[in-house]
Amino acid sequence: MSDFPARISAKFFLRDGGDVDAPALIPVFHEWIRRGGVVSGLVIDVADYHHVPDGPGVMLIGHEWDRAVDFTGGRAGVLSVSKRDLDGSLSERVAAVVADALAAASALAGEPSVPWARVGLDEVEVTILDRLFAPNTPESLEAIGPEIAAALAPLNDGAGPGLEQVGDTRRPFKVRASLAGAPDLAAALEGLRASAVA
Amino acid sequence: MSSRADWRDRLNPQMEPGLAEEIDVFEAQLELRQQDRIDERVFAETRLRRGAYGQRYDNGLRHDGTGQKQLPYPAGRLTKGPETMWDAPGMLRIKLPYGGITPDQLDVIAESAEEHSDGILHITTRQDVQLHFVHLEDTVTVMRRIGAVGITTREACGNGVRNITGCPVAGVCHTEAFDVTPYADAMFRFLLGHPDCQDFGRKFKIAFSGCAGEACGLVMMHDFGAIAQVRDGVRGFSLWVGGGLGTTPQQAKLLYDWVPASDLLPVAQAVGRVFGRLGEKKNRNRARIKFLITKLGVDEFRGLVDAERAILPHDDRWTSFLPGAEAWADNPRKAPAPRDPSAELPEGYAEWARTNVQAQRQAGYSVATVALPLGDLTSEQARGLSDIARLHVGDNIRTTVEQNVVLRYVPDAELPALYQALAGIGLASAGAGTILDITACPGTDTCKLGISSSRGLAGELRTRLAAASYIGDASIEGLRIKVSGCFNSCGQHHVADIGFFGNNRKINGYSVPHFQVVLGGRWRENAGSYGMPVGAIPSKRIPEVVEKITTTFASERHEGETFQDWIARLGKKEIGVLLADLKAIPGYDEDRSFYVDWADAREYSVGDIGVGECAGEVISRTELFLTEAEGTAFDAQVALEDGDLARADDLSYRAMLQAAWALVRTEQFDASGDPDDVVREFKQRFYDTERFFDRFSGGKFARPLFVRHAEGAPSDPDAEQVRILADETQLFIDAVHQYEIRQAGATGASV
Ligand code: SF4
Repeated sequence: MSDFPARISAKFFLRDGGDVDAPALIPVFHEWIRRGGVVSGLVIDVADYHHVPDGPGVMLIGHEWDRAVDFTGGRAGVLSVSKRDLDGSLSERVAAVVADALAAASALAGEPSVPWARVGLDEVEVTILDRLFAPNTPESLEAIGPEIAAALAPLNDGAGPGLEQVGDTRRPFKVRASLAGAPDLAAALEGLRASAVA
Repeated sequence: MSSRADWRDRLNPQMEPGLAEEIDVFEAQLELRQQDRIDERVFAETRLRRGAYGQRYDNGLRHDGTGQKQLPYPAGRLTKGPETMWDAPGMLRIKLPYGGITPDQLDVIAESAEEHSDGILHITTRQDVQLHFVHLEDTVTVMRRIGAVGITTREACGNGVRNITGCPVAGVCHTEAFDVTPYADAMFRFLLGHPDCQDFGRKFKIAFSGCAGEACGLVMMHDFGAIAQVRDGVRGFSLWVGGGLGTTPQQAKLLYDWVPASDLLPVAQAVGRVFGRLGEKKNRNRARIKFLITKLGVDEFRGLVDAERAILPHDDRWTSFLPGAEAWADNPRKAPAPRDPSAELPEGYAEWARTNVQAQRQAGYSVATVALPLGDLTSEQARGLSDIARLHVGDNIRTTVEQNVVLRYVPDAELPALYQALAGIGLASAGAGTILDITACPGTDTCKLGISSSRGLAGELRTRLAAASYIGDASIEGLRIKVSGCFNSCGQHHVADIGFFGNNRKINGYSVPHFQVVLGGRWRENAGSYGMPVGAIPSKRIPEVVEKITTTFASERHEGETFQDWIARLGKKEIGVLLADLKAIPGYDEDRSFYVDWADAREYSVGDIGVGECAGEVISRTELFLTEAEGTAFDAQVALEDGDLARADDLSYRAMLQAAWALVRTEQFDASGDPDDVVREFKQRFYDTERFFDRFSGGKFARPLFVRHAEGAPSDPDAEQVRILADETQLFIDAVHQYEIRQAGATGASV
């Protein structure tokens, strides 16, 4: 078995998930592609799935990363998915993905056309999209939970938060963490980047 | 990261040995290509035969609305096929014969979508599932994961036998002769990888239908199709050949009015051999079997098939499946149970049941259609759906060509509970099989050949129609809308009541997304006839087209008149008048939304269109040039309507020149575009030789070009003369198209 998962995602929930206009993201993401450098990696295209209930909404498809305002589970949030191999330990990888989600959230916070796209920093969901590496079992939580918690520590006053495992064994390994909440996105990002090898 | 090797070690023992080996071989080829040790063309063909397609922007270029920009893929210049960058995201197509899928298989596809794609399963118009934005290196693992549960991507693309489609209600339907499922299944297994089907010049699509009258199998639009019939107590089929959509839609021809089931597979094999031997190979644009049938005539083709059949070496598989097929029976999860009429019903249930539920032949059971918006569902929904299926229907799940899923053998008593469970995963939308249930190909979202945004338009229409009061009219509600992103017709617009296919018009120097409107196709009778093109309309006005056509039909149709009859009664001209005001486009500075496609934000461009390996036919250079000519002819019509006679005259002339030049360039690649040269070359090569002449009209459609070229522009254009020239221009372009079709037939049999 390999040492690291193929894909990892992180999702920060929107502060006000009730007034979301997903199609408004289409011009925003196209503009990000045009401008370049707004988010890291190669950005390729915009995929519009806002017609799918509780789906990935509108996605910014990239080579290394996909970002989206995602509606899975009935809660909207800014999602980042790493699709190519990252560097570092598992903890560092998770930190890199969480940092990427925060960077995307930060970029969205600068977009006046989507004023609803503002995330809270008090909760995050981390998913290991690799059933071979980590099935969604208590054993996986025991094995990799500490590394995930360590990755989230900078967002939780330096202490690894408690992790709540989400979903049954048919779902990918997913944990939700309640966080103390960094004062703002910039501070949260700074803390994370210090611990991530992106 | 979990590597391909990890998955191989775990899954290979679970797969049929042959399949495991094939995927290992593909993996080895992939690695060789990565090291540049096999040719990109060879690898492309291998990749396509394994169901891994390119997507839009895979040549590394993307138009961002301001210009075409390079996508700096990390693997640099490494390619996975000609002009197809290694790192470009791709599509993986998973074949589901007759749309059959079990809950376990659905779970595995859901997992694969979540771990290797964007978490969306897309149901296609041929009952496949497609995953998009898949990295090429990940395709091998997906193949293994789905292979371990008995499904394959093999020959889902490329020049072979594609997925075999069939009625989603086979076995439970009231009108079928018998259940075609085991026969479709047997043919799928027999032809998969069959040596006689490896040498086709193009893809080969097969469909099965249980009866002639309904739509479900759509046999008439397939390369090869079988319609069930029982004669003297013996099961058999009428067999049809040479149907197809695309730029030159053709209805299938009757090959045999009946063959016993015991002859089904050998006849299919013989057809494959004849097609493999005589079908066009060099010009992919003329290589579908319909061109061979057109050239030879179905009677001669039948003779060749008979001769081939007579010398085929015996194969036990021809008949070994028959006892099992005769005994084939579905395995319902639950016993039938009538609905309790006194039971309280959940909110919304009545409407859902009205449109999405149909009673089965088997009393006490129903088929429930799960209407999927644009054919999409998430991995999470797919898992939820497989749970619901396990509880209520077991393995009785099928995808449909209308991009939905049906659950069969739902005990009637459980329908309300099923509805509630579907509502819990966001899949209880009513409106299946109605005007709301719009079919759309991938179009510009992901397809390299897409010209206009079929999914964007379909989504917009769906939203607007759901809120429109006029669709409550019974005559409107049952109409079907289908949208293709280009003329290749993957959205099956030819067989819709109201169909659209994407095209582009250059107006005032700007590209403007349009859709050609095609009306009156017949869905029933296995796609019994194709619709009539009535003109191109700007994309942003298509919702108005739908409203105008449907409301006019509702208010003006005669008692009992069908939509098809109404369209035929009106004819092209009256419909043209009806839609005329919708062709207008505001100036660029007045309203830029017309210059941006649906669900996009970039200024519209056709710069992203690729050439190659999409789900449809390859665009030939001639077709592209003819599309330009049509655009210019359209502009001429617009100028005429605006009263700008000089411009209408000039544009008509230029459109004829473009069409003539398109033909000249089929023979002289670098032909000069100078009008004198074009007219001279066209005349010498095609007119004087009478090659351009058709049986009924001779060369008359070319004469307006010669006359206008010789006489030059009129100093004082006459409205009537210019209108005639504009009409003649369209006829000339049509005649060039017809010449192409005739040529296609001729070339088809010459190899
Ligand atoms: S080839 Fe044309 S019709 Fe087919 S999927 Fe692509 S855009 Fe749609």
